[in-house]
Amino acid sequence: MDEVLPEEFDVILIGTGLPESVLSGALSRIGKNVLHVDSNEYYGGSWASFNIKTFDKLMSETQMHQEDNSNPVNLEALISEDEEFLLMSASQQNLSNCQSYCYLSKQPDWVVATNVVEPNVVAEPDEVEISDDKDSPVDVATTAPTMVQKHSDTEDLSCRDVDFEERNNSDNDNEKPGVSDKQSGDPAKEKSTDNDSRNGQVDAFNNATSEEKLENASDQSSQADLPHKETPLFPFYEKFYENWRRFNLDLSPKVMFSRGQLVELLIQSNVCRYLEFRNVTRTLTVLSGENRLQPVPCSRADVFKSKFVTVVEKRILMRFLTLCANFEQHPQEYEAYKDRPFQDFLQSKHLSTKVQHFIIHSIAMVSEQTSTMEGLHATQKFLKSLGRYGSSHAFLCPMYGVGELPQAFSRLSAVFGGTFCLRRRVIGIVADKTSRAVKGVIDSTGQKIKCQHLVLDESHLPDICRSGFKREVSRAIYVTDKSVSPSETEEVSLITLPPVGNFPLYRVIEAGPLCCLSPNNYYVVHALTKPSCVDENAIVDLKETFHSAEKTMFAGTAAELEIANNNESDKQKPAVLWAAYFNMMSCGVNNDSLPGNVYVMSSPGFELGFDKAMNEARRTFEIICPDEEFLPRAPEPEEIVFDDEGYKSENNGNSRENPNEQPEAGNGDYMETEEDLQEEEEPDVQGLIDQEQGVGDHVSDGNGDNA
Amino acid sequence: MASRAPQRPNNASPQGKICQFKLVLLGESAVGKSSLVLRFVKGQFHEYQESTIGAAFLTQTVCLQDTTVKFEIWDTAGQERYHSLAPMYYRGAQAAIVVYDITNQDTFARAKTWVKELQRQASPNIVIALAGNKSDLSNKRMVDHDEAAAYSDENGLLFMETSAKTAMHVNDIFLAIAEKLPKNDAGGTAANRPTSGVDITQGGGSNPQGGCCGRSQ
Repeated sequence: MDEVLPEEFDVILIGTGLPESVLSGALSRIGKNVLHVDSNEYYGGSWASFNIKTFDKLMSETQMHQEDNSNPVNLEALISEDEEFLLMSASQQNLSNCQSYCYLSKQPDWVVATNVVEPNVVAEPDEVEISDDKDSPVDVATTAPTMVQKHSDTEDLSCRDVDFEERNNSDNDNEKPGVSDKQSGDPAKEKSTDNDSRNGQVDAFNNATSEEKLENASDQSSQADLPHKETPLFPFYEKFYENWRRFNLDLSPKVMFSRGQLVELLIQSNVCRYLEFRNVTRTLTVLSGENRLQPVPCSRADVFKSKFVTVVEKRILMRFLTLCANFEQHPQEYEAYKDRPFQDFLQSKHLSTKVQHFIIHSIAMVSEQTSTMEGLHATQKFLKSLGRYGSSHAFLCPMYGVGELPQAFSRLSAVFGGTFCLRRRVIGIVADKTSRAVKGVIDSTGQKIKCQHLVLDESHLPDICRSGFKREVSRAIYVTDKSVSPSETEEVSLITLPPVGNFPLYRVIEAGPLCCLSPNNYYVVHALTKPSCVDENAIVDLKETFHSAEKTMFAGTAAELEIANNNESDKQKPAVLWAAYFNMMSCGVNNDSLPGNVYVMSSPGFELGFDKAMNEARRTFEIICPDEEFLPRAPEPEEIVFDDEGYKSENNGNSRENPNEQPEAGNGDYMETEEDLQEEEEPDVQGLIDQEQGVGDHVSDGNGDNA
Repeated sequence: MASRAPQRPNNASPQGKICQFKLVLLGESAVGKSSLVLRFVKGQFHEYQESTIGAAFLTQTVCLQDTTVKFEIWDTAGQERYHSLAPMYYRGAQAAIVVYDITNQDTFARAKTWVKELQRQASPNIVIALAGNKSDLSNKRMVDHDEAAAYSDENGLLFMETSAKTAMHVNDIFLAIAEKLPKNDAGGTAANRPTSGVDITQGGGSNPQGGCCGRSQ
């Protein structure tokens, strides 16, 4: 393994989040010599996806100050007199208020233990030993503040993969009928271990601030003395973690507008070759005063099928959507409302409260107070995406999670010669004293690497270029035992929960095995909301923040439901088996202290799609390479030119005749002009009007500014 | 089809079965991964092979008795050099060739860790072949043939010593993989998940009924 990197690059990028990776791919693609480093051992930064065990670990570690074990670098030797050194911040505080909980009972220890009276006593030294020969985790786990130490079994989770597997294997071995038969005859042991197994949860509840939870906890302790139920409602903790690798949990869940910039770029650049996608198959919301998730009719077909809107409402809704699709052509329709709230405009169009709700929260995805212009643009953007990949679908999501996207663009960069180095921390920037331009960076091995341009993700800003942190997004992730709204086929759902009382608006994405986000029979529910708290330093209990969303979507946690075993009321709703809460942070950039050839990429925010990140990458590319094409098409494998022999062309010929060959990407198929788009889109909306009314005030084409 | 690029079902082919598989190359830098691919795909060898090819992946077909196997061959694109290979790389791979250099013991040790990594992270049915490359340099041999063969036996790997330079066993190792790959009705779907997702290159928007989404409701 080469440790030493080349000494000079055109562009150095620090951080492998999505905008940096897209930029990296674009720069390499046109021949720039690129170095891309990340201090993490994984790709994606704040855009990464993790398996569940890594996620638990992340939640327990992030609040700890990360010790830097590398040798101090002798800066004097590296920096000349006409240079200055800007120290990079050692810690990347992009997550805060992290907590994770598993609500499942451990497998009764009589299944596992053999000759042991007090199983936990044996288990502990064992665990310490396992973790001891690892580089870091034990200290972190044991010294972590109680705030973080919510997980009932953090020590276990700090073990490396192999150890974990071995433990699982031994558990499995002991599950053999003979073993359990032998052990199950001892009721005393059963009782005591049952108690032990529940301690974890009791801890979790004790740590929660909510009083209600404390009550539950004491209930639970008394319950724990009862003999174990024959058929547990939920899988055991061990069973649940058996498939820990098959979870892909996003730090920043998002969906792709089917006609958004990301999709166009993926196709145009051929990066889509590296990825697989699924449709978001339905949009759900909760109407005010109700406590039930309802499908939002988006497309013509949806509207016709919908049982929730009347015929009159359908007609008005479709007329309205037709207007929105080409609203620029009809300024007289909205002129008076331009600067007034979108809701006023909707009211003026005689849309019912219910339909207004659908449009504001689930189609435009704005708020009541958003201006009419913004609302119209947002609605149009949605309608443009609708139907591209399936009549009632407007969004796609990458399989295996959002974290695949930066990896795919990074691969493009590597394929065109980009140099990639994970686990490499840059300790500071070297700038010219007079021109203030960046000349290079110094990494933690003490190597000085020159560059013409430097791209940083926000969390890698030098301290003096920062202007304070703020909470950008509050997040919750749940693993549940069924969908929030079960249906015959597996769905991928986008859910908006409008603000109720003191609770904010929540945006929710639910997906499962179909998107390879979880093993079979489990679902992953991502919830996002905008933080309300002004004091950035206050410790926030995010469980409280998400209380209302949880009440709407879930029956309760597995631990709660096990106690209230016979409560039939919420059988339809899923149980929460595992949950994590955290804040995504962002920091302000102090542009005055930032050298001119340094470009800062922002952290993922609350926005639903990827346009912001794509714009950022594109804008930066245009500054660095003003006259070059942004992500031109990369060749198909069949197009790679093999100089001479007929041998090759024969192969090419074969594959082209291959009936299973994919049609070539990047051709005119998708590169319609705006006019084409309009023409293709209109029949969808127009058709409905025709069917409904027998008339169509046909609108000629228009071009939409994709806001 | 479980390769990253969504495909139509292979058994739709009228003339015999064609199965497509994603095959990834793994191994330390400079053991000859790209050279093996270029030998197999192009029949060429360059003593000073550039480490990158500039391709997402290369394709080559192998004809078995009743089946045509089309390999989609992914090279590391140099991301292994600083141990920075993205997990996306071997996601959904149905076959892997782990390459080491028979003149370098360290590359064999590293190959073993790649095998372990695949056994942990890749799909459970993945077919793994171990290739001891540069077998033309047997006078500089540092890795014992029998040792590597025994290791492969223990781990259920195909094993061959290859030379991209002389072409020895290069076609053979791909052929052996082709033979070992499951070619069932699902068209070689080795990964245990539902059929492919949305082919985003197919959405012109002209088909509002969404023939490409595959999941009408």
